[in-house]
Amino acid sequence: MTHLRYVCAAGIAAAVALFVAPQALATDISDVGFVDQSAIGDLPQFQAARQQFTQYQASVTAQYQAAIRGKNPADQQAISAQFQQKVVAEQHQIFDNLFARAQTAIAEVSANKSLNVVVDKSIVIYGGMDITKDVTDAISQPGPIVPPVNSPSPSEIGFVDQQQIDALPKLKAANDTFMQDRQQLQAQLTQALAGKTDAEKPAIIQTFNQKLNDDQKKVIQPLVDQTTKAISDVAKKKGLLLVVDQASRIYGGTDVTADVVKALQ
Amino acid sequence: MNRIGPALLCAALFALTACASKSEQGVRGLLGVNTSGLSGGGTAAGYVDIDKVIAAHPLHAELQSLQDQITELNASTVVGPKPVTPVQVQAQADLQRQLADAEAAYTKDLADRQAAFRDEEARADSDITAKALGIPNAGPGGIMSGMQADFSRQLTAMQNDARATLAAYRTSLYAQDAEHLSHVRQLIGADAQAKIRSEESQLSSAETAYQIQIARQDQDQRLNLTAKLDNLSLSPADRQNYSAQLQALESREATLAAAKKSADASTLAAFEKSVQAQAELRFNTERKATENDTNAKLAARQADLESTIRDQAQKLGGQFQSQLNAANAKLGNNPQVQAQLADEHTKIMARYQADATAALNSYQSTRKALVAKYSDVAHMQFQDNVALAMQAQSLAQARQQLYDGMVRQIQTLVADVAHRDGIGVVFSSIAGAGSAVDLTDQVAKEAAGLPSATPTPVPGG
Repeated sequence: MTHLRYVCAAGIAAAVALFVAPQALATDISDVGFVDQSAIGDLPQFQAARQQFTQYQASVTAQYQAAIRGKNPADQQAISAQFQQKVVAEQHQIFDNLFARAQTAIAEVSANKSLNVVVDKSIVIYGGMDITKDVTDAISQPGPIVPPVNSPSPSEIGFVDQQQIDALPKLKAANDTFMQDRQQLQAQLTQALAGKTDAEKPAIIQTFNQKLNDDQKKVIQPLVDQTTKAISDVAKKKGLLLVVDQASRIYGGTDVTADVVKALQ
Repeated sequence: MNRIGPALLCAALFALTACASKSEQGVRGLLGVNTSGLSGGGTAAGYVDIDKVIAAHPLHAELQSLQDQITELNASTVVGPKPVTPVQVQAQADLQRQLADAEAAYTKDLADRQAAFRDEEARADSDITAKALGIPNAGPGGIMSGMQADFSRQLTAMQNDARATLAAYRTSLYAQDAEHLSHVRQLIGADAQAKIRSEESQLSSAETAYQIQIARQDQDQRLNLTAKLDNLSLSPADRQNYSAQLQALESREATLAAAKKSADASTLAAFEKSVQAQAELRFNTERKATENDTNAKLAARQADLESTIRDQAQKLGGQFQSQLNAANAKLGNNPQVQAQLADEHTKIMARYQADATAALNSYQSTRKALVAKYSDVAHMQFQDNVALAMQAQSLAQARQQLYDGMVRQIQTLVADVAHRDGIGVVFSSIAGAGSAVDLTDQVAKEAAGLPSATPTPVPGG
């Protein structure tokens, strides 16, 4: 009986410890990797593709200029749409296979190194595993790249689709208001600077910056704070370390977009 | 696989500009030091709000000042004196045309210079690496390009051989099929004709028998009438009567025979049609079976060839990779080659920079002179928005350089703080925090104590 009591006490202590410091026990940061995507873009095959696309754009631009000559605005718009469609199709033709290869390479390297999340190098300021060279080597090797069989395991790094969040009505309305205010302030600045001496200009710019800052604080900041809090709440509830913008996530991670959207609605 | 952010990859790769460091390209790019491996030592995760830390940095005021200058230039670009009189309008139009010409000439000139220096460096690199590897110079693309071209050539030759083999096999199969189907068509056609002929013959015999049968039925009456007509003493009226009866008899027989013939003709036509349809069906069935058989043979042969090519390509790819690895290892382990390449790059870049700066200065002088000339003509001060934009761009570059230097300093501070606090990985931009540690205040405090001298720029940064 005494023995049982000790076991129960130990169990309760463990549960309390888990409750008090769940993250400390659960944290695994060895599965975080990052990639310098500019290094992938510097690979010869990507450079060649960009060059090919640039040449195509130049040739299409010349054709477009010739096609719109003497046409009315409506026709010009239609022609422009046609050419844009052509350019997008060519872009897909040139880049899709390369992107797919790069994605497979990242997945393969991540799986080999047991990484569950890979982000862009620009958001990692310290630590993490740099897999850039392994990825560029994998892309450069001849022959197909074998994709990993399994999806990455759930990661303690979450990601959120900021575009979806920004598209929520109240956030969109605030952004639109701020953009309008900003345009107005810029127009005022332009007028205020006209005919002023170099000595007078810094004060005008400072006033502009201050007004812009005030407006940002008034219109945008409350919603930014609300969003950040919602994301943090979701992250804590799900036992995540932190949440990054989906635009910076390259592979793996835990998608919390739906939870955040729900919390903000 | 489906969890990769392709949009990010696309955006990042498209955003890359032509100013990417030359030293990261070609063979040297493949020789880069492998930086993989955990550099953080702790077990927790942290984050810093980089904007807040930058704001605490002693150089923030300088950064803001550059930003203010950019804002001012951008705002000034929007406004500008408007021409009013016809002379002023004309002068402005002339100025814009000449400025556009000057810009086009400068852009072309710069592109030509860039291409020339790039070629020069590629040739020099190729020379250095070829000499180091003891192989013939592979041309401006360098060793890797030469190897890659060789690999592509061999692969293409293999593919072409396989295509030719498959095409020859296809042609031979099609020829066999054509011969076989022609023979089948002949056999089926002969069989159908025989059946039709047999039916025709049977019907013809039946017609003859029918004619004989009706002639026999009328035989007594015909003989009787003929005998009566043979009587020379027959009155003309009786003769006419008997002749008419005999004619009616013959006419009836002819009508019956014709009706029988007509019915048989229809029967034969229907039979012929049915036989032809059956023959067509038999032929089509045979043709389809032959086609299926041929397609199966072709698919099997194609799969066989593809498998062979795949094996050969893998073998070839392995050889190519081995050659490449060997070349990379040889070049990578040769500090003399690395030094030569770096030296060549530095020299060429220095000459290019000088050359490009001279060209830019000359272009800017040309613009300034044109603005002055047409301002005199119009008796008003024109504004060169392109020059303002260039100035803004130059300031933006300076600002970026300063910002990057500040971030590098902050990075060192973050590393110190993280190391001290047992943090293994630190993010600089997050959407929201969970249990990660916020290091912003600590790092900002340390950043505030940094010297206010501008950090040294990193080459190529």
